[in-house]
Amino acid sequence: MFQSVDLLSSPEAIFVMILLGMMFICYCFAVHLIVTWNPHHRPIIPLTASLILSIGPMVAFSYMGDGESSLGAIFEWVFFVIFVEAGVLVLWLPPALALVTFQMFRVTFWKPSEDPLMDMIEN
Amino acid sequence: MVFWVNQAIVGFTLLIGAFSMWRMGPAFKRSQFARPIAALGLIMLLLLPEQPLYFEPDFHRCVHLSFCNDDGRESFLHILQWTLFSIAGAFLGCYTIIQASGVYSGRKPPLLLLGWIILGGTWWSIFQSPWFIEAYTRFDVLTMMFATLVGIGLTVYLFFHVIRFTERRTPKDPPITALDERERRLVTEMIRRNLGGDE
Repeated sequence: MFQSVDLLSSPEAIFVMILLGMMFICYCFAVHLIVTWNPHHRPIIPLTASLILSIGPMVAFSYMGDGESSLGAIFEWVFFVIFVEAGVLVLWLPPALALVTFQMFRVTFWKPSEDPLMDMIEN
Repeated sequence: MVFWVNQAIVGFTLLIGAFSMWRMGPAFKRSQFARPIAALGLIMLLLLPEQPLYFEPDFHRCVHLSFCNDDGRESFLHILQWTLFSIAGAFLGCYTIIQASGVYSGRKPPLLLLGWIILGGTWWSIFQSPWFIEAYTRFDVLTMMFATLVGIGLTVYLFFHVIRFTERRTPKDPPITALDERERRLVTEMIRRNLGGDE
């Protein structure tokens, strides 16, 4: 895990964060495809792609350092990817909440139209 | 022995799974298991096991695993609880404002005020947090935040093409033949009866 912390302080941190973002979304997408599996879906190709893009780099990263891997090391990487990315997304909370607050101001002072149908046609 | 890291991974995965089941049930039927699974995931995230003690079998193994000790666990729980509190406050405040603003029913000023107080409390908790001040004043953290968005955007673009490729490979239904005279009369009769054409 110390190697993963070093990665974020290296000059290549931008590329590492891009890769971590991809791995995080692929992991979430893989979970989503598995739990919503039903006969009307054809999820084999997207699921394979998301599993390769999420689990593959985690296993590869776990070989960093002494060149050996273990289930514990892979789990550490899964934890690292999930919660570093979740933490970075939480850092976007103030800008997101600012947009939502602006919408709440609009909703607060919003008045229903006299004629909603005409209003909809005009807009 | 379940280390807290492993339990946190399972808890987060259950939360994602519960959200997916809640929003994306087959044929728009919401899954009834989403809420219990979400509750289980949340409990697993909040009630993490402690580090093994020196007389327990996994103590030595835990020494070699960097995310096994109680210091990491405490920091993780602190950030997690604050995040959940902020997101829940923002959600509750916005929900109350929307319900009280007259979009769905009559305007309710006291409830509207309560919603703004909750939303204001969320903003106050964000301004009290030292993480955001540190994050927004450091160039490397800002770079990482934008790099993460680039990674997410690239993945969405990639999956857009993967899904389009999959849909192109989906076998198409054969074209249906036009209605014959008997079927056409039957459909006409059904429409006439439903629209009340004979009245």
